Amino acid sequence: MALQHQQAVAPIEQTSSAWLLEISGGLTVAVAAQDVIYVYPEAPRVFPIPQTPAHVPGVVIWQKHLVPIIDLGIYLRLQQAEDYGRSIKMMVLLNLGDSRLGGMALEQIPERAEVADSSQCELPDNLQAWGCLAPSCFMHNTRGAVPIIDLNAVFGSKLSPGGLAE
Amino acid sequence: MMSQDNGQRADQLLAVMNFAGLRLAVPLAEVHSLVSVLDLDNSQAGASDVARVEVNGRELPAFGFDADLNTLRSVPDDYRVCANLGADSAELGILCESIETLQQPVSEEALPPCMYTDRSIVKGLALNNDEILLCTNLAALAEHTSTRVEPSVEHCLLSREAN
Repeated sequence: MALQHQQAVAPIEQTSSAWLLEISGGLTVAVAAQDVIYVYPEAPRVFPIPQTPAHVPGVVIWQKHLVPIIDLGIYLRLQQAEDYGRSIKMMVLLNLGDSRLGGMALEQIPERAEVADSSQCELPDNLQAWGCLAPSCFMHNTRGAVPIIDLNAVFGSKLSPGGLAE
Repeated sequence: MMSQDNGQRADQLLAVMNFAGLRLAVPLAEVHSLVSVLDLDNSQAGASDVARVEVNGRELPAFGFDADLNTLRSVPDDYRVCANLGADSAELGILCESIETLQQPVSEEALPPCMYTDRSIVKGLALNNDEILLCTNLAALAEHTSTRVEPSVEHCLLSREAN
């Protein structure tokens, strides 16, 4: 009985639920599970707004609200805006807090994941420009290093091309 | 805009200018007068204005924009109205195909920070039924049209620096 008890109390590592979002350019980022409030089953109608940054294809109307859309792949120059043609394949609606919403253009349907604290890692050298947008990063068993993005930094800042928030 | 609760502005009556497929709204209180483009003087156009409009004896610059909100160098045939903007007195004219006043006040919301650029005259967005209005105002238009660097001038400056 004593041996069985020791086996039963083997520590179980705590994990946090997240969504894995594949942005244009093929990179995967993560957000907390509760940040995704809606996955569009098909690309919504996007209304372009003139004189806005290339990584902002426009806005969508969601429940009588206007929601800005961001394409992080274009912002980080993983994808050219010209090649992209401003067509969105997939999109998620994100909760930014304080009743604010933002939309993010994606390449694939989001995937759920459980992230263990022990999987935390440093941002790889090629993602150092993400520093202000992704305060943390974890190692995924198939996708490699996945930055966990700060949605308020992405949507609440005037972003300079190449990964710097002002 | 739900994403911009902090940028909510009071409901106000708007005048909406139609051109190049866009709907550009300004506060109705800033629309001083309207004239036909037939009354404009195209011979005295400056570096960035497309024509001159006379209002109460004063000659004012008139500007036109394309679908990307770049300033026009000539007046397209379908731009038939010049809306003179100014609170007490007119300060500048904006050319458009037509202009209308919305019957109901509309809630304008500030442009989200992620959409902002220094060169933009769009300062807010508004949802009017199912249409999206681009919102600007006299101050933004005056600043944009007075600070705009002509591409040809900019090119010269860059060439000079390169030499």
